Amino acid sequence: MSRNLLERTLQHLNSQHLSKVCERYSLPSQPLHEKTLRDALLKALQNPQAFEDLQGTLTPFEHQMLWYIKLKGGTVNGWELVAHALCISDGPPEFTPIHLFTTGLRDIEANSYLYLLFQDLLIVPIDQQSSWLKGKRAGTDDFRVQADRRILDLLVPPPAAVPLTYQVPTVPHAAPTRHPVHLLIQLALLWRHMLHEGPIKITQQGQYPKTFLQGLERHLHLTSNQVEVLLNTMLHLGVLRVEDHQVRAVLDRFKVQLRRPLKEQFLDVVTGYLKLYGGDVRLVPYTWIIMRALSLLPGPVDLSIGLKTLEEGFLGAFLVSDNGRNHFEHPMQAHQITDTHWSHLELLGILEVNWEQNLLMPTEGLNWLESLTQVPDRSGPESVAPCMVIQTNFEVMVYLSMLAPEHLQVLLLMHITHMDPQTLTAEINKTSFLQGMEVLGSFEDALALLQQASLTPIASNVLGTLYGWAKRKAGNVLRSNVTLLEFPTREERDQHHETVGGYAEKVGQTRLLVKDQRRLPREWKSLDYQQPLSQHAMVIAENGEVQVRGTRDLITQALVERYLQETPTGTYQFKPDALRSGSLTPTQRKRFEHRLGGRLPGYVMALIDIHAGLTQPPICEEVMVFRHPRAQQLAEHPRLRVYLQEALAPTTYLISKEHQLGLQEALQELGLPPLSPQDLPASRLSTHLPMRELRNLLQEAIEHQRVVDLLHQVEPQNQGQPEAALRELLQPVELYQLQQQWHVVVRNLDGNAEHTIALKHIQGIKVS
Amino acid sequence: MIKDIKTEPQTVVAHQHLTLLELSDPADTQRVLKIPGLERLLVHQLSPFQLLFLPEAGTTLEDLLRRHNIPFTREET
Repeated sequence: MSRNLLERTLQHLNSQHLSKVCERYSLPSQPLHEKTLRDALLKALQNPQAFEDLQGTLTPFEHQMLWYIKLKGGTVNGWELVAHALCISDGPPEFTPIHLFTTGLRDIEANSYLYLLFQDLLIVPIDQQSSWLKGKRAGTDDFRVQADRRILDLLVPPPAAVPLTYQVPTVPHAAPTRHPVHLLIQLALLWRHMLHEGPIKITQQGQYPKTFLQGLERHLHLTSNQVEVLLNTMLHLGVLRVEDHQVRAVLDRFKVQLRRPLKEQFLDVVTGYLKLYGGDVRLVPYTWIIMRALSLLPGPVDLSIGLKTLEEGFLGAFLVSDNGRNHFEHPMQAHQITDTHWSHLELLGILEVNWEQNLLMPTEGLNWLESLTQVPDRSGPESVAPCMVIQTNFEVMVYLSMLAPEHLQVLLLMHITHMDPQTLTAEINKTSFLQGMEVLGSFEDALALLQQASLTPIASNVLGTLYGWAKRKAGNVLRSNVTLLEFPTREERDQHHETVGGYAEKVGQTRLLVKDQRRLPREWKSLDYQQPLSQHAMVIAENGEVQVRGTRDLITQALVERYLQETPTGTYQFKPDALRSGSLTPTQRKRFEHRLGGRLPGYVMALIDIHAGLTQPPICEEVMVFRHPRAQQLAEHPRLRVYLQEALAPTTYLISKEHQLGLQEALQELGLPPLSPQDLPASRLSTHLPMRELRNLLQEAIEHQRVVDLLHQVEPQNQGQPEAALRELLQPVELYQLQQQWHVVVRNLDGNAEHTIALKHIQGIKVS
Repeated sequence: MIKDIKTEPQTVVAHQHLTLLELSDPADTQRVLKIPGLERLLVHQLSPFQLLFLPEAGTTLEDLLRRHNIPFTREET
């Protein structure tokens, strides 16, 4: 079987159809004998002259239709082709129906535009069994049609067709607010933002983080839904890419896209959008058809009148009769554009709707799409005339009608402040300029584009500032694959540097930095940082000392220098200060553990965690201890045991702060001298001394003017109050006996008060 | 107690395949060092103007510098 479309198709035609094709190729069409007609055609088609002759027979309508197919790459959706026919003609050509192909052709107005093209095999349906041809309701058939490559190759551009326009009253003073280039600018700015922000993590469900979308909403003055549409469209265009659940800007692809003619960029975005959001991929041409229909409106029109006109005047051609009831072929309905895709079509710049004034406004974007279906010459470059004025205060005014792709690149250097259908205002600031430079590459390129785009010479103050910004960028250099040579001594480093010349830069005392790739002497030790480095380069002993082994990479060197101190035996210990300062960050800790091949000792971990705030610092608080030779027995007392629960030793209990007062009260109730916290530890005092010994101690203190530490009972101020014990430092002054009771006169240490204490009330004493 | 420390013979050590960021302003160096997430890529600060990074830093480092408005130029060796 022939590889050519026409020859293959001839095998399926009936004699009547073959006869019509013979007529088209100026061959005898009688008698109606299938084999004779087919053989004659097969023979004629072997001669390239047959196709050249065919070109001369094409009607202007056929020429336009075939050119459209050629623009679309040789294959196009049949409905889309009908829509194109509707846009460039004022009615279907006249014809006498015959039985076409094996199934016939459905009799609807839309098909009548294509009838003669099918009949003469200028176009061929990809699926000849399609329900489209059979006259049934649309199913999942393939509606595409194609033309033979030999016909298309010889085709020359047709004269520009005069597009049909519906005679609908327009609404004066109404105008759309968007220009198609707005979409391209927004995409470029969004892309620049994505490059600047770096890869954006998306959720497991493939959604963008809300905070990220909200940030972009503010940045671009769009809704989050619109931002998502633009992001997904850019993903489709390949200027963004998803890697490991991250969306990343693809610089090379974006540069290519940015240099395409503006109208083609616009077409790329619209078709990309339709593939993503046009629903079923087979239905994409229908949205396209509706957009073609919108292009026939003469300007802003009343919304309801506009939609009615479209349905009756344009989409009516697609009406089919189903059991006597007319309906639109699925999904050819104007209301489709009024719901889900409405805001998206507005975002794309296809149309605008003013709900308050009930207006439907086709935009310049439709004209751009329309021109791409008819423009005969797409190969010539778009003219690059200056389109902007850069003022001395860095403000920029751009005339959109003069915008070229090169200017779109220039806009990346600016912060856009306002856009209307005719103009755009912006300012050049440091952030926007440096971000734009990431895309444009060199400062020279950026400056050349700016000067090319500017209607007036750029002011010297602006140029000077731009140079300054660019200088800073040029001064920060990122290089990969550099080598750092480390010599044992400065002399050896200097000697090598002198010997081999200045290919390397001296760094510090013993190092050389080599910024290109060189072969190194074999005897040198080499550490390749592309490989995992130095695992088990450190060993830690139970006593906490660290041994460092092997050739030290720079990270190991830094760890040793910063966190360890050398011991006399050549091993290392952790510097207490380094840990106390909290400087061992999680990253450094990981690096340590990688080199240790295990975790850091528990005490180091605890200190690190405390310093890092991961665990609380140690708590020190004042406590009371209860001490008595028979403390365990006392702790069994029902009144005391609630307080005496935490035994430190058989004779000593720890009394927490909240139990201290309660214990004192309980002891008091039991008739034991209550103790105050400052009395503890009482054992420091000599207690329960015989009266004679106590008197001797006091006498001795008086004679030597010593201070005594006394624990003594105090008389209550009021009746009914319990007795209290008081411990204080006092200066004994005099001993005397009264009514067979010994007393001591004591003076406060500041010397301003004296009082008397009966010796029988002294419970403990210590002479200092 | 660890004993028998083996010392390395004194020779030249070549640290290879590092990524170098040279900055014209020490203030920029300080800004770079304060970028969250950058520490794990940093190998060594050679000088107030030079930082050495692990080779895998490449794209991540560029992303971080852009995000923190530190302009730079990339030079291939």
